[in-house]
Amino acid sequence: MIKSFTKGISIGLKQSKIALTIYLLQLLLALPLALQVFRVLNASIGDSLEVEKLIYDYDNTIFRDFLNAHGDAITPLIGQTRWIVIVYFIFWIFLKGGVFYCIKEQTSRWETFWTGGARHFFRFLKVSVFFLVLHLVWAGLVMFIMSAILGDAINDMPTEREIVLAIAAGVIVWLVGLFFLIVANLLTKIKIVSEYRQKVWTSIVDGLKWTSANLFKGVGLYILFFLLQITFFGIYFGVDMASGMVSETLILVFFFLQQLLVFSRILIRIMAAGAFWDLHERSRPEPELIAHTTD
Amino acid sequence: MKKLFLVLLLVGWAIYASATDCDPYFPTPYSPRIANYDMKVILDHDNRMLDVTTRMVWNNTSPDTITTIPFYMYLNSFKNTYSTFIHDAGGSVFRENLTTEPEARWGWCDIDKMTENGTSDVTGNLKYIQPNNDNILDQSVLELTLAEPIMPGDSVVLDFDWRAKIPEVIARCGYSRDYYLFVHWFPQAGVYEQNVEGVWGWNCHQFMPGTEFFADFGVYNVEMTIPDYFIIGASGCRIKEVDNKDGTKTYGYYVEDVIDFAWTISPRFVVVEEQWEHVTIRLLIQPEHAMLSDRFMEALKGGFAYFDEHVGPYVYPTLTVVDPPLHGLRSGLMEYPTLITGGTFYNIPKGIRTSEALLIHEFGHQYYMSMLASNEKEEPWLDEGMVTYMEDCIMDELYGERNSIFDILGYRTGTEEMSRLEYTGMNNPKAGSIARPGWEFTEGRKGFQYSKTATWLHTMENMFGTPTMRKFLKRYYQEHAFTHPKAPDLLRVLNEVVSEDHGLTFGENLDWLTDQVLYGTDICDYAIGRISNFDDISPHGIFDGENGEKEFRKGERSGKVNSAVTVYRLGELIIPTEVRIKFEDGTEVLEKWDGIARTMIFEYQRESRIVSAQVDPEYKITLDVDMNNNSKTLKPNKKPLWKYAIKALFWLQNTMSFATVIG
Repeated sequence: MIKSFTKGISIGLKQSKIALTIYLLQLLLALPLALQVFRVLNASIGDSLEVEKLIYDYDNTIFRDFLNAHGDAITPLIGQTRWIVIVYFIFWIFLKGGVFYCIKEQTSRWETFWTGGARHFFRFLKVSVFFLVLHLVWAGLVMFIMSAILGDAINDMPTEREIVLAIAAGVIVWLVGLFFLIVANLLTKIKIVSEYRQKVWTSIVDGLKWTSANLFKGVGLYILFFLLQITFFGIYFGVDMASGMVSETLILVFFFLQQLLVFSRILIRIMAAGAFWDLHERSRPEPELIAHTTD
Repeated sequence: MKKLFLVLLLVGWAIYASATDCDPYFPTPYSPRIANYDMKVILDHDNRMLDVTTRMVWNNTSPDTITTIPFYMYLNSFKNTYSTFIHDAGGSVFRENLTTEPEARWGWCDIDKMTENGTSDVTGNLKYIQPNNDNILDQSVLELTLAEPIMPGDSVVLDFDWRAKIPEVIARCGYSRDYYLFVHWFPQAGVYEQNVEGVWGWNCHQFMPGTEFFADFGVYNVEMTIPDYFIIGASGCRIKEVDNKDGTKTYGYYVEDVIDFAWTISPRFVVVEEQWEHVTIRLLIQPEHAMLSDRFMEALKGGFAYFDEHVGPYVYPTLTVVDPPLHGLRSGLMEYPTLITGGTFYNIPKGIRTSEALLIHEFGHQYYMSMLASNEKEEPWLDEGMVTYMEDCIMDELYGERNSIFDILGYRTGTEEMSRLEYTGMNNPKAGSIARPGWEFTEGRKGFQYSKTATWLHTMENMFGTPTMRKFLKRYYQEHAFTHPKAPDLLRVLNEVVSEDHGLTFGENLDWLTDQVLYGTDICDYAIGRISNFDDISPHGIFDGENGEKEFRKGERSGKVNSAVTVYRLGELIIPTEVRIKFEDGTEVLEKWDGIARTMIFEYQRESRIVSAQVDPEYKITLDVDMNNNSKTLKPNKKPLWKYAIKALFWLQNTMSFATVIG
């Protein structure tokens, strides 16, 4: 697992160019909305002296007065956010095909990346939709069971401490399932790319089987990358709490820090893809046996 | 013999001292002690029943001859869905639908026998009345027709046996598992008083939604017999504790000069006792919340100190603070004389100080609900509004002006700030006035009674100054403690103090303000509309000469600038204010404005241009519903806007990345 983790980091670093491409595409999608946020703020309270206060600190009076008077101007932006997230979700499925193909071909050429994305898009889309449904079912199931248990037991529990602990336990169970499904999704796609598979459903079944067979390794590896992201976030928030965007220079510095963090998230996702690719390779049977099992 | 007597005396004193945790007796009464109760209560825990004998001594301090006495029978409001309290609330209390609740859930109270002055059986003279509506099924007021009228200066002694079924908590009162809160639990006499027109009469409303309590001052001596494993807390001082050796204990509590008596029991309470000057603070906290007791004590002591310094003394020797369990939370967040209930959650973070704010708020009621004892039913703002204002002041002083109630993960809000935002953020801040009886509030009860009143008081503090406001608080307490003050009493003290400190600066009286804010429904919103600067140029163009010839004159710049600031009054409410105008050369002008005109233009001819203008630059008028439009600048600082646009970008990118994790 550790070997795959380090191998993943190495593969990810080699794919920095691809990570940068994905980052820029994401930025292009998000930037117009951020500019609209600026425009709305500027048009509504931009000339107010109150705005000066926001440079140093959060000010609830300014925000609440703004929302009371101009809340309607924000509503369309929330609607747009929803659509941007959906578009990016579909786009990411395409990009993921490119990432896996680049890992397979051990290259970071754009041509390979776009070819991979195009070649695997529809199969990946089916896989993603299937796992999305599984995620919803899993979340719904956990919530249903939790509410059934808590609904009956809440009147018998002596204190809210037990309720908090029960909810925490429910969240842990949900997270384990979530990680399992994420890993299974990754493995299904790795199988499609690495073994030239055309049939989606058998790949999904094999992905789920592989994840079940390698549960601790798979989920453990994913948790390592998850913790890596959490660490970066922690460092960012630590710096933010200590300093904050309180001057022109610091606004610029934090903008770069934020974008670095966003980029690092994408890079870590590619590293994770590389790590799972490596883990999958290590767990594959001997070559002569593959001939019988590949589609 | 002498030695034996001394030993017996010492033993007697030791027994008394062990049962008495404080001295409940005042050297001289603070109040007229009109309604006095001596009660012996036996709790049947298995059947959730109370069996009580009561002796009530009622003193007629009025000039009238009294022929009837009405009693509040609050527990009967929890008897069925046709009580006015539940029926008029649409069958729901605290968002809990009661229309299908089982029999065990309900409560009631019946007087089985009543005698007058120890001789006349007046049980047959009792009948339920409905002074507020024609709901004959409502049994929240029971009227006794006396056998003998009570002459002015005379008293009546009423002995009555009564039983009550305790409901599972409804509107604070009742049980939840093995936790009980006994509040508005006994037949209690109404108040015979003068109304604002000076006419004497009974004030005893049916229990209606949106209302709380109002009763007369008196002395309470209450004995409760309960299973011995319960921990008890009650109004006043414990003066008796006897183990009956039959699995029960009898506790005696005594308190003087209060308008009500409340008590609680639970086997799970953790008792934390601390002293603030002469007051024993007794915190009955749930074990799972015990880690919060230091926070609670710090808040309470801060409250005691602030009130003591700026309002007046807390005269009682105890304050009991009850922390209800989560399952009994509907009994929380309420005030009774010398006993308050809080509400908190397991491990609530330190940066969320809602529990501290609640305790300070409920403690504040010890002054305005308990010692001053305004009518919470007819004029709830006199209590809730004043208490909210004090809560804001105390919280902001104890924990910081801009972060006293929330200071977590970068989100910060002060308590005064929160009060204003609760008012300005209401769906309809024009929905009604503040000064209305509690039962008339169909919406915005908190927004108007609590938040708008507090915001009005903060506005006045900013206008008249903190020393004037504190003088008002002190005098209001000094003149009206233990007297049931009404709105005219408070306003008279306010007018007096403002007039003493500021002469006629704010007019002959403050009616112009109170009429608008307390009794009116309008909102306040001042705004800077426009700033304009034009170079001053001498006349330019073709002009007629002396002989009728046409002469072209070229305008020349005088080096001066003609500038103007347009200020709007967008709301209906009028409050005199100031407008600060800043010029490019750094100079400032502070204009006084009566705030009346819908559009006010301030014009200048100077050598420098106006760069910014701000109405109410010292943020005195917190009643203004939009502070952002109070100022305008021609040199806006866009950096903060970029800061938040960049933050929005960052969080959008993270949302996008997060969403694809499962894709």
